[in-house]
Amino acid sequence: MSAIDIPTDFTALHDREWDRLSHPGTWLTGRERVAVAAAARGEAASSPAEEAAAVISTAPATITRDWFDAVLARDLSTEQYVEVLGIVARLRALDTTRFGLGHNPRPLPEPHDGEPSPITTQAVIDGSWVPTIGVAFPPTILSAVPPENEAMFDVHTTLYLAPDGNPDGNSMGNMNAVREGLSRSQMEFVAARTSLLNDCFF
Amino acid sequence: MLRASARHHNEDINLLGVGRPHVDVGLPGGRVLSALVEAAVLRDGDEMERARTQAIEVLGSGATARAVQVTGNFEMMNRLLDAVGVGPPDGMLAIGDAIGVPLPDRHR
Repeated sequence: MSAIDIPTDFTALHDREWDRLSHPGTWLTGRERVAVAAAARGEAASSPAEEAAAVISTAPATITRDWFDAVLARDLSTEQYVEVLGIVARLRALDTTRFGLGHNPRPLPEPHDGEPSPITTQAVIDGSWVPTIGVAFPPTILSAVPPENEAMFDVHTTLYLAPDGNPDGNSMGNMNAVREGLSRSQMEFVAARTSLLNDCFF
Repeated sequence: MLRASARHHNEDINLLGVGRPHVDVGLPGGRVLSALVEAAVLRDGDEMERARTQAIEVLGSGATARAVQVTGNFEMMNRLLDAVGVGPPDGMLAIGDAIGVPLPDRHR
């Protein structure tokens, strides 16, 4: 058995994500958020949000504009879709990491009661199917739902590098970044290979 | 970013190694990293065990754990991009040829 001990900073990230997941979000309740995560893991979907979660998790490269329009025509707002996307994408990151390290998925948290706290932004359509603050590219895709974008940054920074131009430390701007002996080029090879296997060519 | 990093470090890499696992990308531990990523993304339990063991032997447990975490991060980013219809920028459309894999029709 070659399982690797789970890194301390990964456990802390997972704790933060489970806290975020279990509490009411911006447009979804805590119960809805946890149900979305369960559907992403393969439980039967019983709402448009959960059905979207299943597809985003398991077959993202098959998603088309027609599919997206059909999902949003079924009583799911664009902002709710963005929140679902954030939840599912981060869950996939954490589940894949645990699998790769040799550990089973962490059981989903119990949801907390309460109502969502809607936030209205100035996001507009600019290069993607959902509104973004600034042109759509990886750091802005979830920006119409700011807490989801901040959570994505948290995962991105912990697992890979901070998505900023800082030329020092564990930032994408530092081409000399090395983490636990893995060089920047090795990290980028891992990124490229992962994207290819997911049929993602950005 | 792989190409940019390799240029920055004057590393002689073969981008075909991204699309073709039997081609050596030219980085230390390239083959074991390729197998590690493939097992993780495809959720292949048997291969994951084998690939992780080999990666630990070649790269050490710390670098292997980091490689797994980077894989996890890009599992996230790939979904964010695909789920909102963001494809490669026009200037990157030739990347398919460089890595030896044709771009899907939806990106052409």
